Amino acid sequence: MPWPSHHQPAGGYSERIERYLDPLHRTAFRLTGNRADAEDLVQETCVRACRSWTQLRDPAGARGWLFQILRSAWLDQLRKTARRPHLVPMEQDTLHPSAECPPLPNVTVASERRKLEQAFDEEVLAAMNDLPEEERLALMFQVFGDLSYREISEALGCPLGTVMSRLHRAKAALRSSLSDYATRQGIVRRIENTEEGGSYA
Amino acid sequence: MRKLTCAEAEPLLEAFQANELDGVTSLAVQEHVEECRLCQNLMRWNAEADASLRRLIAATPAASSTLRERVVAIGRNERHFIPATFRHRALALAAAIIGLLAVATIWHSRTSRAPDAMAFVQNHIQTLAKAEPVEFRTSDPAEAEEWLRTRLPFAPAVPRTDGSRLVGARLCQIDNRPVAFLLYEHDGKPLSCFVSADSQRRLRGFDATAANRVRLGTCEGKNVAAWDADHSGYVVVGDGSRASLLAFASQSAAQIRDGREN
Ligand SMILES: [Zn+2]
Repeated sequence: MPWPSHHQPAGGYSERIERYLDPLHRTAFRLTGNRADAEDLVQETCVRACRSWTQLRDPAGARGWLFQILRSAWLDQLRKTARRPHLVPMEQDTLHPSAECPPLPNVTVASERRKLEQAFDEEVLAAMNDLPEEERLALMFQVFGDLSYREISEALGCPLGTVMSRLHRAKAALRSSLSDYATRQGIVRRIENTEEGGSYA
Repeated sequence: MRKLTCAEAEPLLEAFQANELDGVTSLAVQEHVEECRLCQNLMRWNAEADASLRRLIAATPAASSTLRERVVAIGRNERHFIPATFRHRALALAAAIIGLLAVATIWHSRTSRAPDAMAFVQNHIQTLAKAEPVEFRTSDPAEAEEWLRTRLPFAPAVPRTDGSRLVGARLCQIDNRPVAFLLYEHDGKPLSCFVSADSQRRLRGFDATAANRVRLGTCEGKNVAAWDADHSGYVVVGDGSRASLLAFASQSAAQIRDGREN
């Protein structure tokens, strides 16, 4: 078994790893769906990270690098459990317009708003879990790992343009699951005046 | 600057909303959006999805303190122990090599490189930190024996002693060898019993030999006892006192030797 002869005992690992644990755990929790598996995945990620900590040249790149390790540990796990990840071929990663959505109405009654939010959260979670694995990873890394587009491109080992198109498709899928839900529930009936423009989230 | 068409602007909306576009492109998208109801509507849906995602972040648990400790310990102990919950044989072997090399330096500060009780102590600590430390829950030693027999290349005898209650069993690997793990509650404290097809004689790190040829040691603040019986090597690690552990070990050793020789 090869073990790098230049291996140094994890200098700086213990001091630096802690700040990334919450994003790593939140992402792992959403990927695996439960706490026990999430903890195992984070631990596996940290074991691998610790062993190759000296390969991390730039501490500023730690987040992207750690999530790259998380991704490979996760894909290894999927392979082992024969849950075949749905990977997107690179050639599909081009930017193109997505389906239209009906106009989003304003729901201002607080109790209705809360009910709607709860339903939306469930829809979003389900839609997220239905995404092809690489789109799901890109979105989860952005949302739960708090990664920038550049960090996601490092973590997924793909160009920035690919990150953009994956996140674009992922968001389009969430959007259409929400608008499908709203349509099914009869929430989307009226054409709202959208004159006030989009809310910049 | 040329105005963007809807088909050009729409795929950029997510990056625009996430503030990930360069200044020039961002400005172009903004100019388009200001005039385009279609894109404004898509952005409102995106904002709705983003709001859901933010609520989901808030509902997602952060790392537990146990995980925090385990993960920080990996760095602290990289030099002298084997992270014991490895599932990959290759990784376990790699870790075993570094672990064994390092263990020798820490424990014996000599050039000798021999297996050590440390791997068992570490496995004990990490297994107890798990939400579910056993794979098979049973208080019946015969049931545990049956469960292990169908999963291991050897048939371990499961200790039955006064004052201890079996919690369950799981399989693990130590030094890249299959090992049965049995969890007991002994004198009100957790006690891990590891059984392998290898003699525990090869292990270093013990400082005394007690009745029934039980060897005793202390590792990372945990008491460790080991003996051979019925072609198996037994190593027990306990959170209780040395005397309490010895009582379990000594009784088990005698009982297993008697049981199999009669
Ligand atoms: Zn437009």
